[in-house]
Amino acid sequence: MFGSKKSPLKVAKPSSVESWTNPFDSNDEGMDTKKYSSSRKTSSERALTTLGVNTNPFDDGTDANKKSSSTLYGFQSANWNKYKNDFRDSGGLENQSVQELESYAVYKAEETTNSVTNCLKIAENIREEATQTLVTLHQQGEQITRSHHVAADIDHDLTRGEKLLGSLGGLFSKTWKPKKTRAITGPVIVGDDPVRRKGNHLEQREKLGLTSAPKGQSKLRSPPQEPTNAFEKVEVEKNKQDDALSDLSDLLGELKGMAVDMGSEIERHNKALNHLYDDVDELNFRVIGANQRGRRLLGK
Amino acid sequence: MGDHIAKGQELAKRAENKLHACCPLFGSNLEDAAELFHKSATSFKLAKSWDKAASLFVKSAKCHLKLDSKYDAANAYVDAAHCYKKTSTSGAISCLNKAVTIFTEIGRHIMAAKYSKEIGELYELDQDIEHARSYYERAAELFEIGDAATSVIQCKVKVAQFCAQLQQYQKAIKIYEDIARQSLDSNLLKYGVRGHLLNSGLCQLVQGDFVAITNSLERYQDLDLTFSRTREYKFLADLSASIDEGDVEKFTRVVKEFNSITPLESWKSTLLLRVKDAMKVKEMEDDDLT
Repeated sequence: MFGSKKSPLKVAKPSSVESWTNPFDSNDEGMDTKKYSSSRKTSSERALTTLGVNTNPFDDGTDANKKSSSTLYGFQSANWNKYKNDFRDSGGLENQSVQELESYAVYKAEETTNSVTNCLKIAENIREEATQTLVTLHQQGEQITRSHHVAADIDHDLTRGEKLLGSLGGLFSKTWKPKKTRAITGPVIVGDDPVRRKGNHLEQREKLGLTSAPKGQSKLRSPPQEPTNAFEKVEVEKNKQDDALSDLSDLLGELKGMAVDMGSEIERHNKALNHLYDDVDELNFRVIGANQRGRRLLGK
Repeated sequence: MGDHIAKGQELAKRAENKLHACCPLFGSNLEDAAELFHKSATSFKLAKSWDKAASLFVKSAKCHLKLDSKYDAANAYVDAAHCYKKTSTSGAISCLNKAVTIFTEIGRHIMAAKYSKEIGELYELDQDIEHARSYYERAAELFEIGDAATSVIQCKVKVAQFCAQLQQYQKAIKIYEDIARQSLDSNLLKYGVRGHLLNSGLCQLVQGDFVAITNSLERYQDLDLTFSRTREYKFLADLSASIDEGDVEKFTRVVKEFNSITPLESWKSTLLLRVKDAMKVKEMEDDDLT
């Protein structure tokens, strides 16, 4: 299937990779491909979730709070507690050895990395929800337009009905003319905000070369070498934090854009609904008039 | 509960009598029968006697069809389907199918599309992906006729997902790319483009043609200039590199890293497992050769 040739010489992998459990190496290997799982959760899946069994083969089962990387550096939970309360139980920061302080620095760096990663995770979730909200708003806009089209169709049918009602009645009866206060306009098409469209757009910025990341550059994801001393470990964590913060910054910028788009779309909906309300109000007035005429004719 | 059933049976009996009355001089019997069947069905519905309620809604629908009031007939079939949903999926599908046919006939395309999509959802719950796909496809066509662009996209996304699950990758890729192109024109839908391109890229990966994957990534960057800065692009690029190197461990690490931030849906996990299995087979073959 994969045409690329692989050299028989294998490059030695860092020890962290060796120790890392493969999420694929489970009972999934002999998976029956004829059965396809739907995107919705089945009852069995729900049961698994509540039991705490992981259904996603890629989930490593670690919570966000669990410090996964700290096990690599061989910290004991006793040390964690010591670090958590900033050495209050063991004479404060001043009375610690250099080695203890180095370990503490690594622990703090890891803690910060985890916090930043959690922030990124939350921002990604928000982005996902915001994307869905925008789709729903788009759908809502279409529905408003369709409703307005229907109102225009009702106007057309009502006009014919009014003509028929006008022609009914006795030979000497006074000709009836329906009361109309205003014409039915139908949906008013409002395009996208031209300022947003032409100017402040990510694509335009990209073309102008205003964005930071060069095209097609992928971050080096494989860790170079296992860090040996505390300083290197802290540096590794700092690099991770930088990457995560950079991603977070991009995400927040995008979320701002989404919020602006949501706002302008809702504004458009308000305007469209105002027009629709006016038209429906006029239709209501005319239907009442037509009903009165009908009753009068039946009463004769 | 008991009084609802008693009331329902009484109304059903009256409806049957109206239906089989010899002398239809006094009023429209069919109309009365349809109304009585509907009331009877509602009573059984309140008594949670779903099958009985559904069968009475069907009788009401048949009366409406004889009266040539198709809209009411279609709605009665929908009511019947919603009752059948509680007990029999096949019954619900059958009734919804009839409703879709009627709504299409009378030009209510959006209603027809809505219920066609509902049939697709029922098949999806039953894990019948092939049928689910065809009904979502039909829904997309009907939504298109009804001029509901967003609903068309939503249905097409599901169609593409099912195509990927059924290993019809080329079709899935085409749909995802078309949706991405369409979405770029909208201020609101452009934010979903990266997701569609990711899905398309994953389908490319399963096909295993490294040149095609590389070309696709370049094409996606031209399609959406902001795509190269996204996590999705980096994910696809890293997966592609790991496949090219035949490095299963790197592949797994990349997937795990992405999944830790954005959890993958089950069908995407399945696709990636297929890729990994293929890589393992390739690795074994290479080991045998050396």
